[in-house]
Amino acid sequence: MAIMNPDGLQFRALVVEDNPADALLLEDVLRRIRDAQFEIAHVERLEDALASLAVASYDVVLLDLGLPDSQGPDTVTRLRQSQPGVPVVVLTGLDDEAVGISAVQLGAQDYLVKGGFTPTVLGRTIRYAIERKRAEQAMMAQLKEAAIVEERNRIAGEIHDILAQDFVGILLQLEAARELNGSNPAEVAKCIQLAEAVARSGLAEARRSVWALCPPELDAEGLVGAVQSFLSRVAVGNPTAIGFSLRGEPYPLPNDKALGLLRICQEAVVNALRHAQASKIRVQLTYEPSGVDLCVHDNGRGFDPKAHVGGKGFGLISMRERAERIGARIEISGEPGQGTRLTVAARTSMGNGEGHIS
Amino acid sequence: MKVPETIRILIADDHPVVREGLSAMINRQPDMKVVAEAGEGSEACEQFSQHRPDVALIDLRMRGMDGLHAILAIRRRFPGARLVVLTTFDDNEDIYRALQGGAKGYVLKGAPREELLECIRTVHAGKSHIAPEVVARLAERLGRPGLTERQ
Repeated sequence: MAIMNPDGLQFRALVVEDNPADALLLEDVLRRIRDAQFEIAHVERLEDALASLAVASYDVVLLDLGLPDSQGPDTVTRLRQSQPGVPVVVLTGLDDEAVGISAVQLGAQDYLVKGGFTPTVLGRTIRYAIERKRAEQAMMAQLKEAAIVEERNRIAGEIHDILAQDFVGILLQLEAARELNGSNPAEVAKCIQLAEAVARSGLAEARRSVWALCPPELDAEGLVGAVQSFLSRVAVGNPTAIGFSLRGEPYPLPNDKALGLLRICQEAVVNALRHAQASKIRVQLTYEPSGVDLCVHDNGRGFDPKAHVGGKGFGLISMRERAERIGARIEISGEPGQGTRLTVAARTSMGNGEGHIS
Repeated sequence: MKVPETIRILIADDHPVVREGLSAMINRQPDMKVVAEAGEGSEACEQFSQHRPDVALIDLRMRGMDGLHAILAIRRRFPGARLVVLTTFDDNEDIYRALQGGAKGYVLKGAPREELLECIRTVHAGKSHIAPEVVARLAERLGRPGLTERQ
């Protein structure tokens, strides 16, 4: 990290540049920056840069985009995937400023056109890049914190609404059995039977909550596999018939999209089991070149979605939020007595190759 | 011989098993009778108007209109209504607000049956009954500045 010394700020910079003349020029400008001192490391290939960043910490990376082992904006992506925390300033040639802009869009903090900067400009660019990165990371940390708080509230809500009420229900039945004290054996048996049934459904709910909380095995199974294995686990000991069908040829999805779809699917199925009293639930995944559609349809008692806007505990708000986060369109239709149909359409650009194989 | 007065009771709770269990337990008491049940706040208001129970047990957390709003709505229409808050956890600001809104009793769900029955009888007699752990908690909160400014 940058530290103050009597002569000004001290920085560690990693120069990733395969052209020796450009590298020398850059190092020269770095050394001529007033009020900041640079400790400079220099590598010529992206692989060497990644290896170096893995073992040492740098305040900034000055990155050329035309390296022997990586060319163009993809270089920025690879660096960010491997070392998301380090500020990056991209160096471009005179005639490819557009490349610099796309590098910034991919997560670099700034870009400079080679040969076109003075020590003052370079010094300021590096400082701003470091500050921007810090602000970005602080914001990410806040967002993460907010997501954790939200998830905790959801879990607390589930424990309150389901598990605690089941315990109260069991207690009431056991107390009743004790109060009857054998005076009415048939009535006592009824109380115990009811307590058993509530304990069993509470246990099933606890299992569902745990599955929903555990990070799913998306990498190993892909979205289709993860959905199938969730459905088969929910189906155990449940009288509701749960069916799954797949249309189209599965292809890789970015991890956040796959996870979002899985969570929405889990919530929709659990809602149908909990509230809809459905005897059948159908889950369908459709892979089209333009995107992936998830449909969860049950034949339960249905509901009027508008009546529950703002209502607590139905999970619809949360499903909407999840859909929003992955840029998917969500539609929930249902009328009392007509069952409920949930459709989520996630747009994708097929073959951009990120993430796991579905 | 004087026929003992029967306390007519409304139960509002969104968990059917809890509602049924409470109802059965209360109906086994010689001096009590459940006259109405509700699974949601606005239903509780309607049932209250219709049946005018002597005491209403109201869960704070329900789907749809919650218990706090039901308490406020009932007390607005029936200032003398005798209401008991029945809730799962005692760490909720809503309890304070419910008592401020006119609830006369507070019982934690899962408390021994005798405590709930005693609470119903006390509130029916026109007195307050608040679980000791909540009294301590409220005293603590009342000492804290800013609390009463909460709306």
